[in-house]
Amino acid sequence: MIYWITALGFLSLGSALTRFFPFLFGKRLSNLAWVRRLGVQLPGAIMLLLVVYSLHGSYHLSEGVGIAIVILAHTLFRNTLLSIGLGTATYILMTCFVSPT
Amino acid sequence: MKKAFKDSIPVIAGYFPIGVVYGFVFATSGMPWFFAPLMSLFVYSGSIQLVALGLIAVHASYLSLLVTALLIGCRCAFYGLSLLDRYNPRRDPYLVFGLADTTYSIVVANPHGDRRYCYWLTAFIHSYWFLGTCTGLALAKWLPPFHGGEFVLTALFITLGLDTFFKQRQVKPFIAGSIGAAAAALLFPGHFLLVGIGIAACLLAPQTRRQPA
Repeated sequence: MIYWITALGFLSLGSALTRFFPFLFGKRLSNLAWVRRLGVQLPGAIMLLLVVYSLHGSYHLSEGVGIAIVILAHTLFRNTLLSIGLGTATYILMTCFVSPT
Repeated sequence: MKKAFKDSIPVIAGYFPIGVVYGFVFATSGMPWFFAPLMSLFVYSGSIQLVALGLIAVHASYLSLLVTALLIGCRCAFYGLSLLDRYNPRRDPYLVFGLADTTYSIVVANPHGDRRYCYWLTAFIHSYWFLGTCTGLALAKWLPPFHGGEFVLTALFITLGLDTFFKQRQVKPFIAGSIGAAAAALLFPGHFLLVGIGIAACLLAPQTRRQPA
């Protein structure tokens, strides 16, 4: 129980720090060119890493098709909910019927 | 308040369902159910909360929880820059804490929204996330668990990544991310995110000729 409460505290702290960050240091740091560059470019890199991380080393046909569907749907419609829904539904159907993992 | 509610309605479609998903997969963390609404109240970040489920399930260290939250949350770290003269963190800490993606974009799109408007808007959007989480918890009680729901997380990160690409049309972040991913997976698979993001940051920070800031 103590672990969970403390974990909640640290996650909350981390989340809050990222949102207070620009108000605490923003004026000074935003003048640095490399900080601005990272602010623009790092999120994309992090998202790619999170995609790989969230797969937990499981690379099967189902994952590949699911990812392709999400990319296709999002490129066509740019509707986050639709892309996630279509991709996840495809993935679940694939794991059930086509290539059980 | 009326305008704040009206402006926040489209967000219901975005945050409520992902909140439901969070409540639904929450049990995988091994935590008692009441931590789910607490997380949604006090962490209030879908990607941090979802990634943390797996970390808490394996009893990851507090430091790795904090670092992970900071790294995943760092895309929010630049939101505040455009609100520096509108938000006062000492007077209105809740407004700053509640700066989720959509809250930020709506506040920025309404430059004449006053303090009351911002408070209502932030609270409405926060409540959709919270209520979604509670609904997901309830659903998880009634529906049998099924395999494959965890793909939602992968899909969410793909859409977030594509959104940054549509906005900036730059391939460089994704090349840096791939190099970071490959290097981290080969060298330090136990600290994949930390090492991967570190490598990507080192690749992106220096000035290059083709990509002036």
